[in-house]
Amino acid sequence: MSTPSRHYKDELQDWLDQRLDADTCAEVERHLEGCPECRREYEAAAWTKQQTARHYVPAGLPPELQERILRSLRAEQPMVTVLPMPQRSQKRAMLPWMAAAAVAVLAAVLTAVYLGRPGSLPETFAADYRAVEARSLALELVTNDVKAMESFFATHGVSFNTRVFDLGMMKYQLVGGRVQAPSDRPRALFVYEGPNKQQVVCQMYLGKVGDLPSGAIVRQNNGISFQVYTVKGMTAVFWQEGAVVCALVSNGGAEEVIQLAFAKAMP
Amino acid sequence: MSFGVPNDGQTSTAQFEAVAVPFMGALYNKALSLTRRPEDAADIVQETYMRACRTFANFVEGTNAKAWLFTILYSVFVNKYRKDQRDPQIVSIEEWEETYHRELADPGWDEDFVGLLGTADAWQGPEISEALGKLPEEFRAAVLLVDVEQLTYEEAAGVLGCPLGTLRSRLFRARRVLFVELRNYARKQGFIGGTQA
Ligand SMILES: [Zn+2]
Repeated sequence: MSTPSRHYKDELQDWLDQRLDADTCAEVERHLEGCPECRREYEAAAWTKQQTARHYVPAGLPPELQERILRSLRAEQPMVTVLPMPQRSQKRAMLPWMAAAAVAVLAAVLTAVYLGRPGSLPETFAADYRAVEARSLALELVTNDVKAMESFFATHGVSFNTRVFDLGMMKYQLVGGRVQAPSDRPRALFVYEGPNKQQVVCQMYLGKVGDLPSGAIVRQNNGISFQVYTVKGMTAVFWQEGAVVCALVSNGGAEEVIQLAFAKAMP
Repeated sequence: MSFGVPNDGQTSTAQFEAVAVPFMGALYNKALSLTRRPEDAADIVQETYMRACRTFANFVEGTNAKAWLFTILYSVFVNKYRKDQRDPQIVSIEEWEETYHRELADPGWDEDFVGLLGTADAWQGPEISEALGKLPEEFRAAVLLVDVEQLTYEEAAGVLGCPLGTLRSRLFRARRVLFVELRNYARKQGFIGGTQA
């Protein structure tokens, strides 16, 4: 068990990277609550990691280099030069765009394979967020009227009272929503768009935050406990409101999502 | 898509391209961060692709293709280019870490950090790459592979050919140094108050 006299400076970076087992997680969380020194270390490391992931600008690939490499590759394989496949040549012409898209897709797949904890709600909600962003998850009602959204949920199998909050104060506007897992454990999903078109997805369901996986950072505000997860570059903040769990997910700044949650949670 | 053992030259190259070409940008970026010279970076990437294509049969389907390519790239770099490198390192990692601990112990930390959090929209330029560029190569590589390229610790340690514990310690120290650099930058730009560390 923990020795109160020691700090957890390395472990809290492990924690940030979701590499701790449940016991050590709990130990680190307990320690952070009472140790301002480690809390500062954590804040600095989390901020730095996030800044790097979000704002690092990679050097652009010179287009002629790509052409040069593809030429060399194909020159090494005599059979290829005879029969260039149509989709190949098309791909060649479009490469900068396609390469970028393919990187995104492949990276998403690979990350899912390597880092994923499939089935956990933070993971599911992050996937939902991506699907909304990619327009592959359709909104069943498109509206910016919070009351219309709430009555849509009430008439579409959501048995609990949804509270579709107005985030206008924070410059976010409701875009619409849908019911997730309608036949299983229905979740009300609704989407906001911020001033720079960044999206925030909110979900509500009947449940307990205590059932969520370990590895969250716990933040307190106004007597409410918020569990913050970092999933593949996205931030998911969960909190309890009566029998309902609310979650906000976005790939915008972690702190921005947390502040949105703080602003809208009701004790 | 299946990337099994190729049966002839044509499918081999086509399959290889499908797997490997999407990562060319990431590899070029990594090569440039290692050598700092665009011509060298281009040569490293080209050699990486030629080697990777020849050894594509050894690539294990279902494993991380990006990590596999990074591993080849790093070995090309280490074998041919590293000896020419001179890292323009002015401050030692230890000095940086001292600054870091001093900053964290500052009574004004909380206020200062909140200020930093409010700067989210201001970071749109090359400042992160520039700050990373000040780090010694092996520290820079750890951050690039884990925080930018999202490799696992295991994959990143495999790319760099170092033990997991070494990767972990370099990554943690690199983030601390990077924090000092980014905070200095924020001050210099007037995003937050205070004087430069
Ligand atoms: Zn401590």
